[in-house]
Amino acid sequence: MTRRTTARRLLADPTTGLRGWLRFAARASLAVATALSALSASSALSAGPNSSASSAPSALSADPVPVPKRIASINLSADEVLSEILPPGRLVSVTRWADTPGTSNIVGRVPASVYRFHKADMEQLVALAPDLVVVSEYTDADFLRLLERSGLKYHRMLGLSSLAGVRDAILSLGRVVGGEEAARRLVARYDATLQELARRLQGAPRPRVLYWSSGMTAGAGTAIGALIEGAGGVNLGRELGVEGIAPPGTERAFVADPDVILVGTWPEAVDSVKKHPLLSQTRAVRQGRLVSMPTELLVALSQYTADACWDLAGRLHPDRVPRAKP
Amino acid sequence: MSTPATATPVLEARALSAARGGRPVLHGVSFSLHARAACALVGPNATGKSTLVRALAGLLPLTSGGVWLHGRPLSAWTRSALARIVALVATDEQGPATLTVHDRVALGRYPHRGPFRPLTGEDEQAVWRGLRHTGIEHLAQRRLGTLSAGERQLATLARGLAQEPQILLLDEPSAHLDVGHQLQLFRVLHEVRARGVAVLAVVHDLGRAAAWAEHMAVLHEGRLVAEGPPDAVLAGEACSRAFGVAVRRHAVAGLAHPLYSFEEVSS
Amino acid sequence: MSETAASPPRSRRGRWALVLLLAALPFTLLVASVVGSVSLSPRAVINSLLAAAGLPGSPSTLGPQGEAILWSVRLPRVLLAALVGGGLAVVGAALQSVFRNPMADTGLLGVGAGAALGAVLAVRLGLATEVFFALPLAAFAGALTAVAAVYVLAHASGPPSLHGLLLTGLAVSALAGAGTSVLLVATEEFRVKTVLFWLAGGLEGRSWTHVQLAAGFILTGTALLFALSRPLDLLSLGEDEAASLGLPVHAARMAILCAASLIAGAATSVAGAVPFVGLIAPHALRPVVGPLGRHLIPASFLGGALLVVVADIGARTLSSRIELPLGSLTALVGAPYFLLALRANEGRG
Repeated sequence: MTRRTTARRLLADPTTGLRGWLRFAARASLAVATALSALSASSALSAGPNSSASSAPSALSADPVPVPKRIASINLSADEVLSEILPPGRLVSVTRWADTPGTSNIVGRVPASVYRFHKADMEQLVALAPDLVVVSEYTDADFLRLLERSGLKYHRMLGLSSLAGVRDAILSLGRVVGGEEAARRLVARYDATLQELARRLQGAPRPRVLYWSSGMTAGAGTAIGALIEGAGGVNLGRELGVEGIAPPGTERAFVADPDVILVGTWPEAVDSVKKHPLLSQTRAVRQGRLVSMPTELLVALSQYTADACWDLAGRLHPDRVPRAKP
Repeated sequence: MSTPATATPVLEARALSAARGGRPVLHGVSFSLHARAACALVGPNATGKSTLVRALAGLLPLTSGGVWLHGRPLSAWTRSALARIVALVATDEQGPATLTVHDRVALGRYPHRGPFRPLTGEDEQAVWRGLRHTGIEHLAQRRLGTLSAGERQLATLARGLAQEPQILLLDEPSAHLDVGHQLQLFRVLHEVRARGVAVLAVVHDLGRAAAWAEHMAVLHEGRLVAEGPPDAVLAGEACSRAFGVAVRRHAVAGLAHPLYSFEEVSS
Repeated sequence: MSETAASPPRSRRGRWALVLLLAALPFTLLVASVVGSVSLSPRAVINSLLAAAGLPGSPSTLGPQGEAILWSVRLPRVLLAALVGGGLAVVGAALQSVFRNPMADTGLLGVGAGAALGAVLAVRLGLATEVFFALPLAAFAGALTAVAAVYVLAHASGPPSLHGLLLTGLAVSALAGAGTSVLLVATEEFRVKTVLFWLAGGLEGRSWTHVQLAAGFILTGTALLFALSRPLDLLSLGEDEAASLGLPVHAARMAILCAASLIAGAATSVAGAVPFVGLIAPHALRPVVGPLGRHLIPASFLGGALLVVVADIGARTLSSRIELPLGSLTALVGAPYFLLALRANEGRG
């Protein structure tokens, strides 16, 4: 068959020919148009009565001019801050982590009447009828939109991966919940601790510290990295080029020859390093410089971060920083 | 050719009933196969011919009755002893496409060698004999995936011959074969019988079955309805009823066997 | 013209392939020992190895750090990669014969998912750190359970068709995966990270203990499968023909599946989920060395070992900052190969 007849046949054929293609294109665009209109109709219908036009999540909620009375926290950092700066009765919920020793710094300090969240339960949140919900940096956008649709206002705690960031977050949280005074007092203690620490650590040699947890270290931009630096150490994770919490590779970690290896107090923390085929042979471990600090301080992202700095500094520089805070 | 009355059968089914997939297929089939037999098992589709062949090979659990080999029930035979005597050649065998014909046929020596003992010179000779008899020596190094269905069928037959069995059971061996290969197949079966092997073949083509077999058995709806020399069986009522055809016999000058023609019977 | 139990493949191509694989493995192991996030000098590594073997050579110039890296971490890791790769490939070859499908692999039949579930269960219950051997044993038990479940479920209404078997394997894998997710949700966070990294497949932080544990199971299982070469060949012809040739089909299948579970369970327990190795190696080598077990099993072992050792090199060196999960690398190579092979398979069938 010649090329011309083949082409003609292809064009004319109802299924593969030009007519066929045009028909298909028409049907396809009709289907797409129908789908799009259905989608926009459904999203318009499902928009709740309280949704604002600009429903993009923001750091601060859309103008809470009246001071929120009932505050619900679903974020451990907020648990720790709010339990300190709020008068009793106004904190209506915390996370269940607040009661967990080894994770929380406020164990036993939250009255039993306050609801404990085990997971981000939207229905329970609505039932509590809070005036403000405090969420974390990692709460996803879908949940935030759901909050808005349910008529709940929220505040996000951001910037907790640096010492200054924690300070600012406490202040802004205090402003939003109408506890500015209390927040300022809290921050004053926080600053005082860090300033005293800085004074004592002036001129001190800075040991190279490697944080280790399940094969991963804390690199640049992490709270633990900030903790190490605030306690007068050098974060080896940052030196190795790691960003966030990620595995640097045991061989590189070994060759970097840390002065100190830092772990928490969770069950296999110390053993995982002492029994590691390579890390157990590092100078740090052989010379007994494997430091294990209380996990609740290690992972604190609240006013207790200052205490964590002090605690770690006391372990890294025992000659300059007493274990008990004066 | 030996008559049933005077010689002991090598393989015998006694009141055999079997089921497949929960449905009863065979009902009380009694049948015997003698040494050097050339027996054709015929019958309409789905009457249980394949089931009977597999039951005779000891591959199926029976609901009643039993199979006797050399006067002993199958349960008294070990698996490998049974395999050294009875070879089954069926049409639905599919080996891996990358297997060479030679290696495929060599697997037929398993009953004699077992899983560990290496193949000896004798085994190789049996393999090549099988290849030669089926006329596929030239395909020995070819892979199964490159063969036609007919050639694969011949490879399976070669495997059966390499087993050097005393009883050869074939389930539609001529299914994929062209006329030339079909004739070759039946010639092979003749030669095999000359060495004392009993052959039972399920054959679809009644004419070919009559030309080759000395004994014919008709299976209809799971029951043996006719048995005997092919001429007698084909002329009989039971055969016509089973197939729903009228059989006419034509003796043709110059042909060793009569030809048969078949006509539909309006019922 | 006699043929011994371990005779070389008939075709010249097959013989060359085996020789090539046999030569490539030690060379690749050496390269894997030299290359890594910390580079070691090849000559120093060779000297160190010779010194350890008591053979004459110039004294090792690696230095204490290099020695520590080589002997505590690199060598066990590289050997483990070879063992895991070889074991998984042999399992793939065996399953492809038993189930008469060149696309069968441990993943399809629930072995990997079952082993993962067993291991995660052990981690969740804290047994992994308290009881010696708990993790590999739990993974092994999980693998066996999954295979048994697939076999029993698939045979529920008589001998299964190929589709039935694959679908049952898919279902059991999904079930095991669901169980794994449930366990993960209920596990403490610090353990979840361990589990996640384990599931992604990797050899980070493995030591000689792991090698000892895995080697026993994997090498024994492989030897068992090699010994069962002929039954494997018979099973690949079909159940009826195998039975008519005197093979006790169910017993043979059970023995093979048991050995396969032994290997897959051990491999998965020390390395996590490493997909596609069992598919690629035997599938690629079968046209070259032929499908007979006595050729394909050794060839698959060597091919799979090479594959995983190279993948592990990639895991350690592709990114200068972090270590990539091993399972992701084998999947990155395996998935396209799988698709291409599937297309070729469909075209033929």
